Amino acid sequence: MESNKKTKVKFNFFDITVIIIIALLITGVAYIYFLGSDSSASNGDGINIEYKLEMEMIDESFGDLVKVGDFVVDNATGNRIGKVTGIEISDYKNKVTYSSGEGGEYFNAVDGYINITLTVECNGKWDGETTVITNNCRIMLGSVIEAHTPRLTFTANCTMIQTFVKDGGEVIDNEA
Amino acid sequence: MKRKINIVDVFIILAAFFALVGIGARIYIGAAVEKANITEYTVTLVAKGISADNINAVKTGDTVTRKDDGLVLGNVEYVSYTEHKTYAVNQDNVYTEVTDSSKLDLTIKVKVKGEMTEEGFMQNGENYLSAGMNLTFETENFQGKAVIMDISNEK
Repeated sequence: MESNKKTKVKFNFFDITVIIIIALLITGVAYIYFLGSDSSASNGDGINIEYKLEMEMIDESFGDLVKVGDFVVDNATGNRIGKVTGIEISDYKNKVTYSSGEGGEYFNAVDGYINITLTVECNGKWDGETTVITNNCRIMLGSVIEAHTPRLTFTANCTMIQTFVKDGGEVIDNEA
Repeated sequence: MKRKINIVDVFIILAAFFALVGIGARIYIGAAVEKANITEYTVTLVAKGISADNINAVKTGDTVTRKDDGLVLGNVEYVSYTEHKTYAVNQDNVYTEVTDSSKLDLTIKVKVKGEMTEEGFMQNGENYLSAGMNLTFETENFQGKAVIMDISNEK
C-alpha cells in the first residue's frame, strides 16, 4: 500500500559534495586546534642524550642571554634539537707562547670576550660514538652547529655526547 | 523535480556552519592576540670595522633594510661612530689592543615592531631576530654587515 511505503533517503551528488566539504572542514579545524601550533613532532622512540655546545670568543654582553630551560633550535631546519640544562661561562683566553728565556706558554684572558658552554638534553638516536640524530637534525662530535635559543643566535662546536638515564627512567620529550 | 531539504541536509549545513565559525574564530582570535602583543622594541646593531670614509653615512631617520630578503627592520633612532679597536698579535702570540684609525665601529639603534614569544623576538609576529645574529643591511646611503647586539623594550 502506498501509505506503508518507507521513504528511502537517497544520497545524490549534492549530498556527497557537501559531505566531502564537511569532512575537509572538520579535518582543517582539528588540524588548526590540535596540531597547528606545534610544527615539529617529537621523536619519542629515541633515547636520552646529553651533549655540549661550546661557543668561543663571544661578546661578554651575550653571557646572560641563555637560560636553563631554553630550547635550542637548529637554524637550518627550524627544528628543536634539545633543551639547555647547564651553562658554563668562562673568560676567553688565547694561548701565549713565548720564546724568550727558556720559552713556554700561558693563557691570557682577552678583555670583552667569553666562552659559553651549553649542556643540552634531547631525545634522539645515537650511534654510540660520534653522531646523534634528533628531530631530523644530525649532530656530530666536533662539528659546527648553527643554532639559536630564544634570545641568542650562535655558532658552536659539539664537544661531548653521552647518553644517560633520568631519575625514574623518564624519556625526554623534545617538545616539552 | 523540486528537491526537498531533508534532516540529513540540515545537519550537514549546521555542521558546515559551525566548522566555518570555528575556523573564523581561531583565525580572528589568534590575529587579535598577536596584534595586542606587538609593541616597539629597540634593536641594537653594531657594524665593526667599517671604512672611516663612511662616517655620517647612516643618519637618524634612515630606513634599515635586511638585504637578503628586503625585510624592513625600521628607522634609525640613534647612531654613533666610535674608534675601531682591534688586537695585534706579536711574535709570542700576545694580544695587544690597538686602535685602527682607518676604520670605525658603527652602532645604530632601530625601533622594530614585534613581540617577545617563548620562541624569541618575532618582528611583526613572524620574523625571528636575536642577539648574535649576523645580517647584511642597507640604508639610504650605506650597506654593511652587522651583528645584533641587543633587543630590548627600553623606552
